Amino acid sequence: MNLHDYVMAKIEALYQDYDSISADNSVEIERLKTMQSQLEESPENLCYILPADFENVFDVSNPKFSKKLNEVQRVLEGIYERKLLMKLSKGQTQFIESIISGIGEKIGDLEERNKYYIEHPEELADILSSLEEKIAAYEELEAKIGNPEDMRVLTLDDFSLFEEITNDPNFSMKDKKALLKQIIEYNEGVLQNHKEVALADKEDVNKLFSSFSVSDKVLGLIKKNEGEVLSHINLDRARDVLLYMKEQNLLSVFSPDALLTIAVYGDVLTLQKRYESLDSIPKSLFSIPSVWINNVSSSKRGGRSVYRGKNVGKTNGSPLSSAAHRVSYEDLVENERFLQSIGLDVSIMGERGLTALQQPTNRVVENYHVLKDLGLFEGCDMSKFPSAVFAASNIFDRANRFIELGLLGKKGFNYVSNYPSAFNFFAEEAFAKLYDLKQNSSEREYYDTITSDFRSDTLKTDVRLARGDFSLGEDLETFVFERFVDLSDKIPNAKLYDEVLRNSSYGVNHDILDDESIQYLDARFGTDDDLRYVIGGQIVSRAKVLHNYSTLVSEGYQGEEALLYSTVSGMYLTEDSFEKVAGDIHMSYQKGGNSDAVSKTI
Amino acid sequence: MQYLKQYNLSDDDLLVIKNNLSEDLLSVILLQEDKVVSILDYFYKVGVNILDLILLKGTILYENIDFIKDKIESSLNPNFLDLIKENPSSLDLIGL
Repeated sequence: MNLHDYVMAKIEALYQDYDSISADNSVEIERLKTMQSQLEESPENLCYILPADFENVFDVSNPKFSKKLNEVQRVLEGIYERKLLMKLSKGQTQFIESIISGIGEKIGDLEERNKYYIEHPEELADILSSLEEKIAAYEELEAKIGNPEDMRVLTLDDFSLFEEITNDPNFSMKDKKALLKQIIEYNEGVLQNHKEVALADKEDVNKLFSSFSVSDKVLGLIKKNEGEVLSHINLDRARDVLLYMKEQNLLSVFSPDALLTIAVYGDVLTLQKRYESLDSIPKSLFSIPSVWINNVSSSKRGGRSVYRGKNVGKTNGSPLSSAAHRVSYEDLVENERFLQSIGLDVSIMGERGLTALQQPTNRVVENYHVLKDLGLFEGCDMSKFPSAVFAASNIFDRANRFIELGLLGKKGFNYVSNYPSAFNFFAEEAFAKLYDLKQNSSEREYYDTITSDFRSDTLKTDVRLARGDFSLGEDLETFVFERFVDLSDKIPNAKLYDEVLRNSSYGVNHDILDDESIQYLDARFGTDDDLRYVIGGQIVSRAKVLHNYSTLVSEGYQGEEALLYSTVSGMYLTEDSFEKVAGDIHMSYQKGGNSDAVSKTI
Repeated sequence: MQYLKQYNLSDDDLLVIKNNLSEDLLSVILLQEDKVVSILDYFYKVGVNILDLILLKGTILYENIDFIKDKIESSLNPNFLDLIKENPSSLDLIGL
């Protein structure tokens, strides 16, 4: 086995654990009870039970068990169906009795587990949460190893994941040494810019799909995505998937891309389970491959794509993988429920609002709270609100900038409220350009420059795209360097505070409103729009200051520096503007009754 | 993504798209050509700038063409298509 195979096997085992723990098992318990009572009624009924029916009870892959079962079934067939003069041996009778008692034990286990988790739901939630995190971690590792264009070395965190694999008692010392050697070779290969990824044979792949008479579109997609297909596909698993699709007449029902994605990244058990669990299947589901593939809920992925990683740039190397992990079935259904409950025009069956439906649920819910707090839903006919906005990432950071650039607020020009898709796309270059314009123009000049000549409620098209008259004229880094201060030069602990805030959840600890510095800011620099302060002559997002400062304080970082960072983070400020803002913050901190000392109380 | 060139997009435009869209949205463009073409054809025929549409309202490519048409045709503004031509962000006004 290679590294990729080890990780895939681990992922599969984790999903099996997840399924067996999360299932309420009532259906399985009923099935086993029926089987038990049939065998107690007459051993003849054993003839009609398939080995696969014992899968959750006995080790059906054990050759001794399957041989004995086969032997006993042949004898029973002879006795009851062919009426031969024969009888069960003592050993054979004991085998049947052991099956009945084994089923009984399994029923007992499942009932006890169900009862325990009903009484301790928080423990079940913890176990499932921990499993989800682990699955997400292994899937990230699989993406790294399996992507020929991902040239990141395996880190200590990755080693820990491999170590856990080797903790299996079936892993011999010899296997461990072989695995370690593979890890070293992998990193050496990456450092030499020569990464080897085991590839399936192209001819074998084409033969497999052609043997199922898939459409030319599928074959075309295979060709266009050859690198990804050959490095990820497992031919046996793909064959099982295609066979099942054929048996269920689904080969031409799935969209070509969904069929290929499921064949490359899915497995037949998950596909079958999903298909059998749905009474009526909306047509749209046949174009969303991720709901047919094992996927944990988005909450464990931290809302970011598993397949991006910190240092991997956009490669287009894994479009099938993106599709395979876009949204879990559970998230899709929960998104529909949640978004419909707030009045949005979305529907899986009606294929409406599919953008928002296919997002991680935690992003959808967090975006809802941000948008609500910004007042975007007030007086709004929600059925006409563009649901795609719920797909936006970093919505809070963007909102803060829109507020500071005078594009969003409860008073005045409120571009973003009318055109909230600005949350989905607004070039970073555009932000830099606007911060520059705003600090170097009067308010009138600023809005005259950026608003459309045709409609006063919207921006010129080129603004968001940082194009034409709004292009920077040079690369972003140079533009920023020449015009704005580097906040990490001005605030020594800026990078530390960045790290603290990086994974913080949206929200404010309202105890911060009792902080004397914040009370001074509210009194001295607050405006009639509670989304804004005006500090040092600059509009500053109040929600940003409160969120940042309350988070830092709760982590033990108090003081003027933390307050200044909370105010200026995310802004592009000229030297002059920064000094004015810093001056007002200094005053706020002093007037708030604090000393100059920076303190960390932990 | 070469098929996007039928909408008067250059290689530079394709690079801008690649650099600005999320990986997931790019996967839709790469894997669901028929669906993307059905949507872009609709807007191209009425004179919408396709590069601007993809950059400013790229999420529309996740949607079903019938849903898009339904939303546009339900608009009370008879000149709505002109608004979209002037600025694709206008689709926000009808919930797209």
